[in-house]
Amino acid sequence: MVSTGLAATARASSERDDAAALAVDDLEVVIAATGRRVHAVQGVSFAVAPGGTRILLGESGCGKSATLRAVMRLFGRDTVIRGRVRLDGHDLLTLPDRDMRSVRGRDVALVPQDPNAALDPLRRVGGQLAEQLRAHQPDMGRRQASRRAEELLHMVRLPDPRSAARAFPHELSGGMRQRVAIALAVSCSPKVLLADEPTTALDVTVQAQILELLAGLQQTMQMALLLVTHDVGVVRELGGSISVMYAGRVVEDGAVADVLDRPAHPYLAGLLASQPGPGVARGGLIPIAGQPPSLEESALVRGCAFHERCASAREQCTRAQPPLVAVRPGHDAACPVWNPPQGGEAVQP
Amino acid sequence: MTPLLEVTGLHKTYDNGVRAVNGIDLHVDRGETLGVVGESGSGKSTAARLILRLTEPDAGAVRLEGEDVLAMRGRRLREARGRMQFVPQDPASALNPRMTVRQSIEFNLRAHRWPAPARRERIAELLDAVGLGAEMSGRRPHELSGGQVQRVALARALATRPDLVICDEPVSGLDRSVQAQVLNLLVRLQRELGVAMIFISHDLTVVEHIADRVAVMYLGTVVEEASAERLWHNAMHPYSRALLSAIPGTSGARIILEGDPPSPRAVPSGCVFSSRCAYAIDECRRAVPPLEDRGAHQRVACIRAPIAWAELSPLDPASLNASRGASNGLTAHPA
Repeated sequence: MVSTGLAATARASSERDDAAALAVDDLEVVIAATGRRVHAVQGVSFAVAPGGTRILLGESGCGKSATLRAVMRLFGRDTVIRGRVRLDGHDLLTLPDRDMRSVRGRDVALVPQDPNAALDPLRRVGGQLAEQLRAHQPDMGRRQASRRAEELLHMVRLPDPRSAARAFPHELSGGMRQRVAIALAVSCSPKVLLADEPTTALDVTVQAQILELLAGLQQTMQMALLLVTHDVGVVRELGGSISVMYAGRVVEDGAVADVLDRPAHPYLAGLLASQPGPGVARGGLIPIAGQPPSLEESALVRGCAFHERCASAREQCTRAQPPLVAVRPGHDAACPVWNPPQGGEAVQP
Repeated sequence: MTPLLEVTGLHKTYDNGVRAVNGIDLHVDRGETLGVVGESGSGKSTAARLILRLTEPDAGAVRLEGEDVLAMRGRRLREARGRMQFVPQDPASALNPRMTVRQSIEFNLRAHRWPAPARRERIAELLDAVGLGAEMSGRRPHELSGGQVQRVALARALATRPDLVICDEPVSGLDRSVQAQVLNLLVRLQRELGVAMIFISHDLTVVEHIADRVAVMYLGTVVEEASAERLWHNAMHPYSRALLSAIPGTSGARIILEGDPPSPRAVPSGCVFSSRCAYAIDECRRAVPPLEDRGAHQRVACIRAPIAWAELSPLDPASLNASRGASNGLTAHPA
């Protein structure tokens, strides 16, 4: 399925990806925005194992949400998406629109950051769930669908599923709405669940509930989870594999525990040193200078997009974008310059 | 010694029935940072507005060095406001979009009757202090990044040399790498200027980092108050403990609370936390527990708190999970 002209490395990675639930390969997203073209995602590759977790970590404008939307093909016609998004042997990017519509929700589903984006404010929650079920399972009767809707609401642990099914979205709290959005997303038992900052808008105690729920559902339903977050705490909580994104590219990739404990890119090391927590002296945070580039800016930077904020940058960093290379088995980073200090603690770029 | 700011018995119920602040007592000493932490609807932002008299309280007292702020009017109120400044939650709406950085800061100085030559000098000084170059002074908010906007809001608040700055979620809209810059700046300025600060946030890690003392708010009341370190290691109120354990990525047993906080329109009787508390007994629902001193400057509003937590079975997360489903997460009132 991979043309023989590709480099050996690409072939090796595609063989590994064949076992994956979802494999994103060299994804490019160019968004057309009022007269400008924004290169939001620039050659992003990763795979999610069946039932496994992959986290995209990054700050605003790094292209993490655009990656999710590209997987779901939620962009308009004027946005160019290149590369491959393979799910079950199909490349989602080449599917006809009609086939893609039946893939969405059935094989791959999305939990948005704002549950209101997933819910129709004018319709009862149960009715929306039933509609989704019947859209993908035409032989399911109305009564069966509404019974299943209540089961789903029970599964996402709404305290009173029957009355929740009769509620309008505005009658529910933010945490409950997010549970309904999750019920909607998992209603057809997708193989891959995408989640875009699913807990960012929620209070801390509710966030803990939702993370626990997602992890539980993932296990019982054997779904692969691809989750976008800016929160290092959430990454630690969920575990699995991580792709650290900066300015539209993946700059570091590996197992969560290994990557967070032994960062190999100065961006991630800097991000970790910016986190307050017990044991960090007051005023002793080590911020990264400057600010992350916007989507527009990141495509214009020559060389490594991080070099302007990087204390270890050298002349070579301004010339070419460094490729993602293995720093140790299963851990890749896109920085040939920075040498992490030995011993691990308090790494600084 | 009289504290810089003393707040007693502050109450506010809005016209729509939301009981936002329900009798809080707080004090801030000179040069001290008081962190106020709580989830949405806990009343922390309303408390800030009441202290500043941006909203009038229904009852209670606010004293600035012993003087009753609520009784002040005219010139004396203006002077008091010059000594208590505000950095509001949303940096984008905090600044007038049509004013340049210089005009925004100058506006505040003029409101407090600073003469023109002194204003010019002061603006240059302030921009330098918050790490903005002089070239920024002609820019408007839309030409600034989130971190820069927050620096301008801070410069404006510090302009009148206040004794107290109240910051409402000053870093929550910022990316972590930028957030760290602003937090370091706050700490440095506070040390240099000796200004006291009330730092309001939903983010416990940030509050623990920056505050000397922390007040934990839930549904319009302060449920616990202690030094940041003591709270982090030895929180006594069940809500504080749940809040701490809910921070993602931390180790240790997780206490997952049932449901959401009840609506501030329908505050439970007795202890406001009783409807979500795994340790609540009938007595908790009968009377509001007082904020009692438990030694080491720790005050806790919980009649169950002195019991060793480990002896109580509900702390075992397995038993908490087992009770899920049959509980009262949806209802605002205890059954």
